[in-house]
Amino acid sequence: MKHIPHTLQHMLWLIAIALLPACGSTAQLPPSPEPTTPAAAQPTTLSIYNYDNYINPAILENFSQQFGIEVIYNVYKSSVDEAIPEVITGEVGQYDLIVVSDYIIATLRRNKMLSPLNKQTIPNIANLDPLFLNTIYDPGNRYCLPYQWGMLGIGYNIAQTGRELNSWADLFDPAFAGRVALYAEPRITFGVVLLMLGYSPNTTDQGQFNQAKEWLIQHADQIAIYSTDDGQDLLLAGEVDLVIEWNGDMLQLLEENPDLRFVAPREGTLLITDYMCIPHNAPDQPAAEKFINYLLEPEVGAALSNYLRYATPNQASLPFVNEADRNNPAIYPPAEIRAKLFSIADLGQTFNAFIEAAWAEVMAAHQTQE
Amino acid sequence: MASISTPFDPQAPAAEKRRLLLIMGPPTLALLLFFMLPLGVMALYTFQSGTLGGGMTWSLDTYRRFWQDSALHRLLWRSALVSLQTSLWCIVLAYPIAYYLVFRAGERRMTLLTLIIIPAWTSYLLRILAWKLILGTEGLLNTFLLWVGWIERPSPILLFSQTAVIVTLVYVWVPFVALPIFAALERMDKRLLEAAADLGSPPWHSFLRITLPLSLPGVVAGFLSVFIPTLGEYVTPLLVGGVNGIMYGNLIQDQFVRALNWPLGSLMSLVMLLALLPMFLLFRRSDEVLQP
Repeated sequence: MKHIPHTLQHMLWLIAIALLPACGSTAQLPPSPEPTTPAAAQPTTLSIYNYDNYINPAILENFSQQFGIEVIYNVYKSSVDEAIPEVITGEVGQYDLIVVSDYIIATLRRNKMLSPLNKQTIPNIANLDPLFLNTIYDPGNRYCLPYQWGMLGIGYNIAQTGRELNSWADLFDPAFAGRVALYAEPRITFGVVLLMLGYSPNTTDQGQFNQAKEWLIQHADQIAIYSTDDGQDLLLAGEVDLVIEWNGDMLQLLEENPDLRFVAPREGTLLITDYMCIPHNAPDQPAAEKFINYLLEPEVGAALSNYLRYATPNQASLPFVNEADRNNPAIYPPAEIRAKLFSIADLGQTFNAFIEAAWAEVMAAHQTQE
Repeated sequence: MASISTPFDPQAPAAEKRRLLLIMGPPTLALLLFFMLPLGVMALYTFQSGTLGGGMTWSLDTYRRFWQDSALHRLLWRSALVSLQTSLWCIVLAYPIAYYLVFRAGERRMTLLTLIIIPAWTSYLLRILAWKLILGTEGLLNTFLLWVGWIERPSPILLFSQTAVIVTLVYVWVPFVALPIFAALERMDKRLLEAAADLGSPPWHSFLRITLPLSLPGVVAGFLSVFIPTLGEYVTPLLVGGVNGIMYGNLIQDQFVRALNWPLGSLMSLVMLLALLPMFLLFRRSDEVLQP
């Protein structure tokens, strides 16, 4: 029995160690040691962390051949959200380059998870469209550079809706009750309803958010599911007829079923830009910068967009983008929509907590009494 | 009871003590390290507030938030009802199976038992996805109903409902209820039934007075082995539930993975654990009362 205090002491130590990342959230992991062997002799590797199917494989191959760097392409298991805790807590292997959506950058920067870019090694920055530089997410582009951009819209099956859609309000047309998939991400679903109600999706007015919340609760019967970035699959399988989706995800499907459509609603929509960033503990930052610069080459950028069918933020790439895509309003929207593209802004911890509580209410409200 | 030596009986010979320590040490250590310690860490998280990445501070705000958020309570209650319905349906379906295996199957008993268990060897996820295909708009069930002519157009209400969640869960868990009932029925002294018959008891009477009471420990064990894991279920509602099938476990997962509110996720998990405590007491009590 007299051993127990000792064991207890050990346990307390273990608890203390386990809690370290929780208490000192700003504590940083020590930087990884520089490789001691000369790089020239060693075959270098570049480890990328990105969405599944979010690269043109030919680009990786050509990069490998041209620079003699082996590329390892790792994918997020389900969504990029799952990757944040992994990156923050440093649980998973170290990556040289991560591709993340804009709204995540604030979290990564707050936790000092990113390494500043060495811009002298990335002259191709000059090719980028100024619209995507110096944004609210990363003023001065200290850490990140744009990869691709897209916008939210309504994906729908015209054979089922029987008419063309052009407004977010169409999602709540009683004729489509129970056939609609919204998005399991409060800022996106609330954002869409806020736009429909004539507000900014980045409003910090609690009353406006409450209106959006009440709207969703009152229209519970309209919604079949809050999909987790797989709305396009549900639409293709015929489980729903209308989904909120990103244009890139939808465009890949339009060829599979001629009845499918995509529209960026007239009220304006959410813009998403995915960025390339380098984690603070990247084993080989120069290799990552080489890759970023390579990707910003006009023809390489076009090869990426032609493959993914998302829009390129690279002005110099545009002439090399397939003409059909370049003239497709679902990829490069007309000026009146382009003027109403909203980035999802970080609204701060306190307001986020308010949104989360509202979201929990929406989640719990959708329960039919049987 | 006093005469039986317990593992830490001070009078036990030293060699036996060492042997016991050797046998019990590793599992105890594993339980402490991989079960009690994480539980403790989780409990400590509940005394913080904020989000991972947004900074966390020590406070009771998470408790306040949970206490005031009636949406979370409603969801826990709805989940308990889903689990209850699932468990009861499992018993209704599993009892006849177990009864048939013990009393009627004869030599085929082991073959049939194996057949019941075999589906459980395939991935849990795969079995749930299979139900998505069965219940879908262009799924097996809709296609069949269309073919028979019972419906004129595919019914979209089969998938994405609470019923879909219960149907899928019942399918997954029936074998796990059939097994304890099977074991309880098999342990039963069959001569009791012969004696009852000799004394003129009709079969249904013997079932109600002898078989059913003696199999109750198995029924209770089966009930709990479904109720407890399904209360925290989130994969099934995620895949086949839609908005109407959302369960408490989905919101816990949402807190950890998307909202990064680990304190609230931890508190929600602990509350669920506490809510299950009466179940364990019920289990112990039923064991004492029902055990022959």
